[in-house]
Amino acid sequence: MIAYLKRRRGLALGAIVLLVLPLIPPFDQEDIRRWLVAGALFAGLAIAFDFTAGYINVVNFGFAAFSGAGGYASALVAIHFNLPPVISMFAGVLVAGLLGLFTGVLTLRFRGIYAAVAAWFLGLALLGITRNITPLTRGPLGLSVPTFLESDSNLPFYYIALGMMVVTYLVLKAVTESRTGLAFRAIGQNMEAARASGVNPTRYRILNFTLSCMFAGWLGAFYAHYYAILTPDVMNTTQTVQVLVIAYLGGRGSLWGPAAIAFPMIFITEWLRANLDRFPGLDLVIYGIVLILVMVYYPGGFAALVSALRPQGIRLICGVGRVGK
Amino acid sequence: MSAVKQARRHGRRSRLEFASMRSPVVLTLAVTAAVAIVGTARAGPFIIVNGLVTGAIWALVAAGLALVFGVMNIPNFAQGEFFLVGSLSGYLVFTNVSPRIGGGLAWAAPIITILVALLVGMLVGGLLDVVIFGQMRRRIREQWVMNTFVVTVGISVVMINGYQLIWGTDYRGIPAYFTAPPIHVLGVGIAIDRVFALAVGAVAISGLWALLRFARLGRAIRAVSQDEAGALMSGIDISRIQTLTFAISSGLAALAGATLLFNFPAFPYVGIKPLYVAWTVVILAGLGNVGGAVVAGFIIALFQTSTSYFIGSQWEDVVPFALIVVILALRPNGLFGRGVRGVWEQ
Amino acid sequence: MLEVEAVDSGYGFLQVLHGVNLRVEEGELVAILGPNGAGKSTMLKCIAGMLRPWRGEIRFRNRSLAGLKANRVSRLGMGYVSETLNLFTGMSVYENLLLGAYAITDHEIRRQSLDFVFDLFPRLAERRPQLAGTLSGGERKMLAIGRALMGRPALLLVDEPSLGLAPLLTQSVFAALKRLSQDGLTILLVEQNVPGTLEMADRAYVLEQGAVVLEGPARRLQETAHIQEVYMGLR
Ligand SMILES: Nc1ncnc2c1ncn2[C@@H]1O[C@H](COP(=O)(O)OP(=O)(O)OP(=O)(O)O)[C@@H](O)[C@H]1O
Ligand SMILES: [Mg+2]
Repeated sequence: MIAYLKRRRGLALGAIVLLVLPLIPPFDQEDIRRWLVAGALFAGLAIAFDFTAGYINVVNFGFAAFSGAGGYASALVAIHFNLPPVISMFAGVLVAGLLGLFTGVLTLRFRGIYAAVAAWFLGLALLGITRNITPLTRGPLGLSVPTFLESDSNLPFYYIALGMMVVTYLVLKAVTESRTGLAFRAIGQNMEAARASGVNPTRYRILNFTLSCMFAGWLGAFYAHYYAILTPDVMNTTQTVQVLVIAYLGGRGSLWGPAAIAFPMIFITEWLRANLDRFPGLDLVIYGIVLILVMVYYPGGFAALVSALRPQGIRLICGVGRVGK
Repeated sequence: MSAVKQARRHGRRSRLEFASMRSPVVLTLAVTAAVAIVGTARAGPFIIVNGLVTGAIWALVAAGLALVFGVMNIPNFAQGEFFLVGSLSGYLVFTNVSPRIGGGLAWAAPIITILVALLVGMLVGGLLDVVIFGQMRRRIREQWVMNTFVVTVGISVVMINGYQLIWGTDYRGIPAYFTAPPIHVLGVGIAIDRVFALAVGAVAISGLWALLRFARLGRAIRAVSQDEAGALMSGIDISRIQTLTFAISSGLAALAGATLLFNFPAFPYVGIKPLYVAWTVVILAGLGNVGGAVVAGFIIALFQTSTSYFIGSQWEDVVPFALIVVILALRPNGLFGRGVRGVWEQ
Repeated sequence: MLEVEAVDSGYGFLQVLHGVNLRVEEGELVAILGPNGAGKSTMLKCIAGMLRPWRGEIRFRNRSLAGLKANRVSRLGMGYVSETLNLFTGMSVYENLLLGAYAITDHEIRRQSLDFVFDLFPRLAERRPQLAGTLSGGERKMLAIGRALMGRPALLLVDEPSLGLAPLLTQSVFAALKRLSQDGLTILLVEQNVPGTLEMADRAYVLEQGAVVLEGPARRLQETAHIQEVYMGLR
């Protein structure tokens, strides 16, 4: 246990900071706690996204749709079977996981951008279906969803989200550090070479998609039971873009980079939105420009910056050392 | 595997390969024909006519997308925003020009409008390429496809919201370019604007085809898409060619936006539908395949019009996407996809 | 015509060339010999502008090439036939040749070059409409050389034309190079086929591990012990 914590010093430190953050001013205001909840949620989503984009090198451009489908599944189960959200969430995991499995199988033969676009189209089709089966989803009118608990405070929700994020991180990190993770990187770098050296791309790609989507669905279910209303817009490409931006700015293939950058990103965007409301759109213009600048001048993102600053230390602490480089 | 490739290279095709590789194409074309015939029989020829008109315009947007991917390896997510550039400049030009030229010259206003939109689109695209992708080309080329993809996402966000910031969220459209009554073909009344759109699509596509096929510039564009080092050795300034390619692609989208102004008024999110459709078309045709994009444009448009007629307009965007995914599962490189080069795949 | 002075270069962190000096005078046929991985191709890439020298200077027709991109170098009159040929495989032989003359806008000159290339390699004339990707190995070599000639170069860089060719074809490619040289074209040739190359070259450099270890007139090099032992398997 001690040794484990030592190896995970960065993570332990981060977790402690995030645990006490909502208790100290100015973060103890409800408005800011809401941002913290969003931060934890998006950190989790970005981790799950990076698990695919940063390792097997396929951008799941339908990500939000899968996550949203998990949210809808959980919400519908909770509503129609009168189950507590904590349990119905697993319906979300199941549905999103199955969708991930299906996508994985379907996009097996595609490479890079083709797989990304196929996933995107699947997501758009899912979005269209959700929008159109109004008897079930109420379409654009929105579905009201029972919350985890009755509380005026965001604090309990924050701890739930934080816990889910940490679990997502630990599980996916463990996978990437195992032999499976090595296989992911191998097929991400060169599918043919990986196949030639005995890695079965089929199995690993399907596994990767399924796992990533399961967590996406789980976190999507949190979204549903926290905001208490679901509209098909949660499945929109713009939502995927938000997660993608966090994952890329955080740095691909590290898992912790996206998680670390999620909080400041959400804070900055929320702050911009709140303070630039006289100029609708300006916040997103700034957001887009920052994204472009980072991608042009520092495509490695935050994680690369940190490992460039402290090459040895970080690699030891967080295990970011890139395989085969 | 390599034997099959070898056979294909020399134009000899085994029956088996013919059956396994070509049948989805045949099937898709057959289904398209069937949809067209049944649709016509049940709903009237307007299905084909509308398919033809929208198809011509989607083909323009999609051809631009395919061109940029083929030459620069950039999967452009911002293509729809150049459509928006076209709608906006179309609106601004037409509403200012049309009241000033009246009488016998009224027909010239729409033509001036779309030409200006084409130019503005090319300028904006060329500028963006110099400022952004030129920078990227001079830097690391690792992970090029995915990095540029994310950059185009950023461009799209900036353009949509920049538009909203400056021009707001109102619709800026016109009821029609031409006031003349519709003409009748096969018993269907077609608005002159649609005839105009069809003509613009046809002219622009043929122009693009001729440019790529016969012009010195077009040959250089194809050379860069096939072998950048070879192009450099031949004295071709590939950076300039890429800027021009991006400009042409953006110009085509802007031209489409201006041409369809009567149907798609300018507003921040007008580019989303053309973007989706163009991507569908390009994926269906095979990335980087400009010629295939034209055929696929018609197929998609036909599917859309018939879906919207027979199933309901809210399904118009669902059914084609689902269809594409199925077709892709059968033919991962697209319907007419030539084998996609290694670099494109990462 | 070409002076290379103390050039260092390489890829990423890997230094391949260590202070290479060489010069080519007008009308000469100069060869660069050396074992695999010696840096011969790297040297040519530097000269052609495809790779940037880390240090040192390259001058072509009394003009420094520092900072020039390959397309500019090509327009100064340098033809380059790379090891991988870099043909436009999806285009016809004819279009490949036309692209070689991309920088030349004069129709008449272009037509003359085309006639010249077809005269040098009649095989290409027969295959005019065929896609470059479907040519045989020998035909590809001819096309690559032809494409470089279409730009009317003053200096032709050729990287291992004999690579992967049967002896008979090698001979015919060599014969073409010899003829070009006799017509007055300056040629810098990288080769592994040492006996054949020394037969036809005026001078030669031997590159080993990124440095010139031997240089001189081809005749004299033929006699040196090092060459005979290491490259010709004599003695
Ligand atoms: N693009 C590249 N990236 C990294 N290293 C390279 C690259 N090209 C060549 N090298 C390395 O540079 C060294 C010299 O290569 P070069 O191609 O110049 O040798 P060469 O003398 O032409 O050999 P050969 O006779 O086999 O063609 C080799 O060790 C090679 O591995
Ligand atoms: Mg070599």
